[in-house]
Amino acid sequence: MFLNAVVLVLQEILEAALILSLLLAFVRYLNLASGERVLSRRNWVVTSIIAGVFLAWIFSNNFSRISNSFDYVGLEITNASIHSASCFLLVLFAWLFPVKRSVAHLNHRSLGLIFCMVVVVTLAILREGSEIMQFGGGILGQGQAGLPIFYGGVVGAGIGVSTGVLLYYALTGLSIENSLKACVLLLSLTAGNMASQAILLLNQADWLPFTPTAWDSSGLLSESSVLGQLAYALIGYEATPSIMQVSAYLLGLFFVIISPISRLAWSTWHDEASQI
Amino acid sequence: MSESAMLSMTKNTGPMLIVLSLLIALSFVTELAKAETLEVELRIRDHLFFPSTLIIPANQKVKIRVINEDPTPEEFESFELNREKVIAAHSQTVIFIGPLEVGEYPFFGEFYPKTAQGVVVAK
Amino acid sequence: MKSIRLFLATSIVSLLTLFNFVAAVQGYQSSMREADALFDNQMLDLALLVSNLDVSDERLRSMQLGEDLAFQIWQNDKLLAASANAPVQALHQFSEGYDYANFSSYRWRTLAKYDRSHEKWVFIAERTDLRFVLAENVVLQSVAPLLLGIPLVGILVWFFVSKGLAPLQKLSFALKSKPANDLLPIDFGDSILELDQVIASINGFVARLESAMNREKSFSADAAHELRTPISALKIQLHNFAGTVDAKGDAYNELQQGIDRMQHLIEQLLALYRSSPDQFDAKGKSVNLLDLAQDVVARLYPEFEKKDQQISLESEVEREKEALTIHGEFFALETLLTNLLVNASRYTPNGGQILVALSRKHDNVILSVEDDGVGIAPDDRERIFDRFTRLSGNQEVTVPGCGLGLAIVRHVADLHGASVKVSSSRFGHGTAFIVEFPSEKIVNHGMRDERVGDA
Repeated sequence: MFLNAVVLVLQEILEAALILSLLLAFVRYLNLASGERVLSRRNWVVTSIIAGVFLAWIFSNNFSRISNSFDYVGLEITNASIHSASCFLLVLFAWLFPVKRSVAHLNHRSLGLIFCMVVVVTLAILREGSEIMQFGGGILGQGQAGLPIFYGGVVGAGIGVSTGVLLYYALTGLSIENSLKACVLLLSLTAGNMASQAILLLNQADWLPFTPTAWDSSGLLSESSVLGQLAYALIGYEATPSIMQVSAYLLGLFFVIISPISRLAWSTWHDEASQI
Repeated sequence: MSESAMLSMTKNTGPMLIVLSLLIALSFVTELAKAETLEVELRIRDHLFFPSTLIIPANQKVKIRVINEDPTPEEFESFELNREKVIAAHSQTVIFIGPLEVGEYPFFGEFYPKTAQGVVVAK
Repeated sequence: MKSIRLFLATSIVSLLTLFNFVAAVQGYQSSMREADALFDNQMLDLALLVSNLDVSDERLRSMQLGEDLAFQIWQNDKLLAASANAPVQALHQFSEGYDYANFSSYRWRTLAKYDRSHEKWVFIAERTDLRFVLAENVVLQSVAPLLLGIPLVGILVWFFVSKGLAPLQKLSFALKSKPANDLLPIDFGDSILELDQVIASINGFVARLESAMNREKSFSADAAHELRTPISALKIQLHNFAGTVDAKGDAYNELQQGIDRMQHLIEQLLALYRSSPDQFDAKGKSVNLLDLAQDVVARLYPEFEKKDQQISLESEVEREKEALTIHGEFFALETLLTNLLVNASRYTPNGGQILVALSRKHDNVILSVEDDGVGIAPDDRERIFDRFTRLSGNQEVTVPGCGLGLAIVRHVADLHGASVKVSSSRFGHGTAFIVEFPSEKIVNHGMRDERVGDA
């Protein structure tokens, strides 16, 4: 049961930690580029974590009701909605991200940016937290040997949080131009991942038609391997995605890539990038 | 920059529309090919799947009704089928799979993988 | 604010956690594989043992191996013997090897072994959940220390990072607590590779600053001092000159006024120089402001009398003289009050009123000088403390002064940690200067006025 708990908790914590690290790196970039602490005034991280845990608790308490709705595919519909909303907000975040130097331009958008970040992180914690609660609640309710599960949970959470912290330091340790490039790239991959997950869930609920598998790379990188799990959490890797999933992924990617911030990140005027 | 951003948004709606219409067209095609969905039952009891081998016809969509008789939740998971779904204690749910090519597709209960193991065989 | 300590501690702990925990998972997995192989071997041993049982023995049919094990013995598709918990069907295919099977509500690890000498199939089954729990409990014993050690490691990392950064902290403390007039090099004791260059550079700067200061100090002191003598001589000469020639005209008066102004300017320059932070006597003594005020008012009394001005001293707490005592430098405070009173006298018309008031507010001692003179417009109230600032106004041109008096007041107040405020006086028109001294001994060593440099 130890390994079990590790894999489960790690998977969930990792996804939430990566999103949080990514957004924090963006905020740091913004503060650095504008020369003032624009977004640290509001304690949005704590707010969204509390909101996420609270919503996850409500979700877990109404799990059966949600699951039984929509002719037993309520879970897929809810999760697909959460994923679509996250994808939309990540794209919106990219479009709202200020690219001009003026403080007015920045203040004007800061509320929108905070809204996107709070909701994205809240939704991530809701998604991942509710699954951990289901797992933990079931185990505890049965009064089974708790110690291996507890150890497993600690190890999973430890690996997940450490990876998030190190990712944040890696992103912020880069030069300001490279940091922005890496952040935008990760943001686009995350948006694509969310879109692809939403499609997969709707497929599972039979709300979207079947499309053939686009490729099979399970021989190259198995989804059940440690690396495969990491790639799944980081960029939404699937060994056998359907054509529709791939299209959705590319669409999410595309909308971030055409955003002004992405053009700024790859613009040839590097000094412009370093001094928004 | 925001004006030019808006400009590029309108510029970029072209490809987006093409992708969307392709998706819609695709959904019509598959909708037409849709046959009556076959339903099979999978029970979870004492963290075991019954039957542990699900034999289904290949190239056909199948609706699996998963009934959890245990007092604990379980998560149906399969990397090969790309499926993942939590089933609450003492409840049931449905999972759509396929159409699948001929082959074996292992699945397991993520919460109790030591015992909850099974395989879907598409023939 | 970015913290080196926080960055080092969190990144090191994160790295340690990551590697430790991944190692723990790897260790767990390989140990579990080993345990699995061990259990499988035991099943094989058991199969060999079971194959040698006498199947004709009736007792064999009701034999219990324990709830975690089951066996079957088959010959020619016929069940010869089985444990009580075994199913009636074959629990394994008739081919040698290991597999898994579900029966009797459990998942079992199964083994098929063909006994060639007796032409029998022996099937052994072991419950996976029980053998898993058994193995896991053993393996976790070795994994647990890796997990439980992390909080301890975290505390130790924090401790060592703090220890490692201590020289930096020591340096910043040494710089912070360095008095303004202390230009001695920093003595750091141990030589530290990473800090040696920084300390050497700082000490280089300090040494250069000190020599520059010394040059400037001796220049201004010498210049002011050296100018005193010729001006005194000049005054005497002028006086003598007046005796020999009949020269009581305007030109003579202007010349005399010019020399007086120059003398005053030099006295003030010397006072300003003495009240600069780097010249300030850091120790300070107890100074009773009431005594001081009485002295200064008495000394300046002829000045007020000349203009027919009424000077009064008012003290709220006359009975407790101690309450008006502050720590400070007597000469500097005397200059402060003198300058305020001279200033008040200057800008108050003949026959006007000047009031010196002393009081206590909470623990602070307040000294105020008020007059019913021309007053200062609110917009000008900050500007008057700048050096060589004299408010333009027709009548002021006639008032003698060099514009240094209030700059010196501000300096002295700053050195005592006091604040100076300007407001309207209680006489309805006129100015009030209010100096508020903190009761505690606050002689701010660290305070450096950047304006000192341009004196």
